[in-house]
Amino acid sequence: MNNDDQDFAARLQRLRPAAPAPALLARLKAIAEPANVAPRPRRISAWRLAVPLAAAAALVVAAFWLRPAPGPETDALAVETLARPAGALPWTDCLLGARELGIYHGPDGQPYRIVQGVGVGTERWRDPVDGSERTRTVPQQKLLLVSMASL
Amino acid sequence: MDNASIAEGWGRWLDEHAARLLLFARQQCRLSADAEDLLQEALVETWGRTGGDRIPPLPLVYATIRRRAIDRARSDDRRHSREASTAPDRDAWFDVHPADAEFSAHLEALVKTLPAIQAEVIVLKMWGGLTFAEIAEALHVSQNTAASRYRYGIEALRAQFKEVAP
Repeated sequence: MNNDDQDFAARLQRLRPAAPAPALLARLKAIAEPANVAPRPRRISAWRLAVPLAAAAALVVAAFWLRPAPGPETDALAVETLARPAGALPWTDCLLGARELGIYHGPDGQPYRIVQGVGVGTERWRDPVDGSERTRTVPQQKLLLVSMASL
Repeated sequence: MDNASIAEGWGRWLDEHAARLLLFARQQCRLSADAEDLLQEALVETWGRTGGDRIPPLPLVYATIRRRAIDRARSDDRRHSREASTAPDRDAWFDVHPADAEFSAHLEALVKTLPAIQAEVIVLKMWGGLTFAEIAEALHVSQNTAASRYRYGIEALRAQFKEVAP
């Protein structure tokens, strides 16, 4: 700012803002009266939140670790999903029975018979430690689509 | 600190700052009656925000006055244009010696013609008791911006001002 502006500013600063009317000043001072003070918002201590959250987390963890161990597979209709061990010999299938579940119309418009085959599969392999033959027989279930066009 | 001490401290703080806060409220409003209500609302809000047991910082009070004035202007535009034409405002901004009455009245009229962003900085710097850093905080601008607005505002005021013979 140049000198003229500074002189002008100095003159402005000598002015004093008008005081508020007594009634207004009294109203403003009354703001701090206890009856006029709104209650403080209740602050929730972090501890009051942490304890129930920690308890809930502990229950979840306990439920996970204490869950019963899965039992042996005994479902006769267990799907053939067992991974074959290394060194496996050819798998042997034995179809014990089949039942028709219904008719399926394929995207080509042709009908197919849905057949559920139930049987057992036996796998044999050589034990890598002592070379002895090992076998395992598991139940199997397969779903087959049999074309009815040839019938 | 007990309630009586808190109220007493608040009273002393108002004795020191109420006039400058009212001046800023008047600069922000079109009518003095609105300025008084605006000041009271702003002080109630800032008193509450500081927990009701601490004096609020001046920049916060000014910022609250400004924000509430903007909100009022948006919602009351039609009422103001009607009232301004029928009820001329006679509450002077300054307490002056009678010899300076014309000067201060002229000044008040000219400040009202300034762009609002310059007028508010001038009021806060000249009579509001704030530094440029505090003005920047209250108006949410940079310090450089506050200083430029002040400089341009003073230049414009002086250029328009016609000396009144004492």
